[in-house]
Amino acid sequence: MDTYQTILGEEPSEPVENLRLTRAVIEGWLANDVIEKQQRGELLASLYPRRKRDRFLVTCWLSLVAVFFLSGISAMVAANWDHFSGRERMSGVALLYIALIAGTIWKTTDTLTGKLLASCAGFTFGMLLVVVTQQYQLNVDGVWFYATWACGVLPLAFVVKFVPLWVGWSLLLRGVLSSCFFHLDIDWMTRSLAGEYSSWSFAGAALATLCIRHTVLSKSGEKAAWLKPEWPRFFLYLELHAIVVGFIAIYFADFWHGISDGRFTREMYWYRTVLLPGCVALLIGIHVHLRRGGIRQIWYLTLSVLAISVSAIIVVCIMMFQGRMPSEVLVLLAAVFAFTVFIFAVVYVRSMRVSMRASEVTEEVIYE
Amino acid sequence: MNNLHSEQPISIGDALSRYSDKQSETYLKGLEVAERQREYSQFPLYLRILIGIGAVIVGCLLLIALAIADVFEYPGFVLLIGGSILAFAILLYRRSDSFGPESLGYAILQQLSFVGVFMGKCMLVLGAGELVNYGNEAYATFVATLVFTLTTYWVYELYLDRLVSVLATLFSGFGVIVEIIEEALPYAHMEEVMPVLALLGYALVPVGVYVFLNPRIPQKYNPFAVAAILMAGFVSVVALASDGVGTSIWPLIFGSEVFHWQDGLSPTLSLSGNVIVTVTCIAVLIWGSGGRESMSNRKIQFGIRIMILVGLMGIAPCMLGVLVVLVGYLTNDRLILIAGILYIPTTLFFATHTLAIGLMSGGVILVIMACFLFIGYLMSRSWFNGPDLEGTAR
Repeated sequence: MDTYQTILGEEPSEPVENLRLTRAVIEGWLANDVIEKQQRGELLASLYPRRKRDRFLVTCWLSLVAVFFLSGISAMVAANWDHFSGRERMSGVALLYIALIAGTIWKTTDTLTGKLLASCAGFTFGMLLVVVTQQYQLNVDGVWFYATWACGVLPLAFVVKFVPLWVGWSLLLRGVLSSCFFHLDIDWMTRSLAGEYSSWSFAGAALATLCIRHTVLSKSGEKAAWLKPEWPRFFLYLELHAIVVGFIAIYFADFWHGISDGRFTREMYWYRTVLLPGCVALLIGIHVHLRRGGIRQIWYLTLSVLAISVSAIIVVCIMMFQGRMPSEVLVLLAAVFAFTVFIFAVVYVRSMRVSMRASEVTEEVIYE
Repeated sequence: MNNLHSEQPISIGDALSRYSDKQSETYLKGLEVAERQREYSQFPLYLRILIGIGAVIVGCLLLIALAIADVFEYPGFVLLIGGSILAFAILLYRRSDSFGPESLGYAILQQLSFVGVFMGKCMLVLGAGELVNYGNEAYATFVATLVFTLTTYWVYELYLDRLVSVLATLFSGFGVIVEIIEEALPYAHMEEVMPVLALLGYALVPVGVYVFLNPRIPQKYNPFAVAAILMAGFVSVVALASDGVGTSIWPLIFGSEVFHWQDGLSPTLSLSGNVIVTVTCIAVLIWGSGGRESMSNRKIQFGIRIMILVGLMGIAPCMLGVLVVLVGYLTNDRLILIAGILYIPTTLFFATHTLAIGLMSGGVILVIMACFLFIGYLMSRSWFNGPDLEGTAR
């Protein structure tokens, strides 16, 4: 069994004889005298069919040549960067950008090579911006830089329909959003506000991306099959949960200290008293939404349960510790509470897994 | 025999039925061997992650409680408690087998056991570090990590736990080696220490690859093999980034203005990394092609020559990436293959950014490597379209 399967550690759903043959199994058979050396050779030949093996070798070989050569050339160019004039630098990067776009058109956006070339073109557009702004000493701020870069990449991302390129564009969007609130970062008071506003904008972007993805997938069907990979969706949910848990911790601490110190009416940000239940409702809402997804959503459900558990532990710790150095008994009690919460979390996820599997089997029977 | 060369993946059952009846003893023995290689846990990964995060949070809170109670003022006591907690955790883990995996008791015992293991390991390392005199912390930490790895490796059948434990032991082991070198050579600079560390790191490569590929070594030692290769990968990249260790010796021809490391570093030690990785690559290539008999194949001979040329003239960590890709492909292991593919650009980043070898010489070495590989490709291009040559194992 391969390393990924071993780490994943799922229960075997298939009998061993239906599993894919691997080299480790063949070598194990030879070592245990199940097969002879000649039979091993025959099995290895069927495991690595010649055409497939040669294709893999040629791809690897030429990829290595390209990677080593391009890295070497870029290092040599970087070493002599100061010797180039501004015009040479700009035209060099612009030519590279044009060549990459031409390569994308030549290979078409349906091939992986074309998609990779377009992604490189998106990155090169950013390099071009850096060189131009350096050359003309434009002294641009972050919002302008990231927004221009994001606008330059957006048409490519629309045309190419390549998930990694969209992930890169999402990161650029985060750059734009965080730069929008950078002007607030003047002192420690406003710095926390800048962090809060940019985090809310990140949460909004993640939520909007998830909604758009869901709508496109449900309306376009197979035309939007390139959007189906789950890993970007998982990262969006991870980001959303992390932000919401952080907000619950900060808002609740603010709320609780306001109540306990009697400063509630003077120093509490009133909008936070509205947003705190809003965050809790969002966390629970996401959980309810994910519960409907069946066994395929089990990883998301675990993430949601983890976020709820951590939020509960943080809230209880804030209430117990009262913003002061706690005694060992209080920390011990917090540990006991955390232990209980995680026991319930594990039992809950496990029961959900069992019931979801059972309902999936029932559905299959009904549809048969 | 025609279906042997089809491109469809074949199943274990299909492969066995080619050489034996489904009811025969050989068939059943073959299934048993394949079953032994299929390790799985009662808990899938997402549940283990949940349990693991819970154990870390609870363990941290308990350690904070102990710290507030001034327990860490007495290192001997910390060691004693840490050892006891670890022993108790192992006992609980063994006891949890008596419960059904779906029962509440099983979940509680597992969670308690993981909390105990986390706390026990932390307390052993902290206690050992505090107990010894100033300057001997590295030795104590190494002994503590070695003890908890040896205690838990065969008990907890968790891939990641084994991997992290072995990795921690190897890290602390390298800390001890740095300590020994500093004691032996008190005025040594880091560029004198780094090649020795890199050499030891590279020495882990053949060990890890051998343990990973040998079918007679049980699967449970795979985490050890992966940890050894990870450690080698880490040390080789650090050595390359800090002092340019692992780069081939030929730029010395151009003198110190292009390549600076001969002032403090030993070129022989630096080049030994290239030799180790190249020899391992060749051994894996021969093993993958069907053993010693395949050496009479002209393709394999050509592959060996190319590897010697690129390996000895190039950058050792890049070749380590190529080796990992090769191992991943030959064992049909997707994760190892992807790790190797990701490791190559990482090494290239360090190769082109380290000040120790300079941008120009790093770039020239990479272009030379690319040229050798491309010439090799042009020379062997017709083989990929022609029939198989004599002497091949398959």
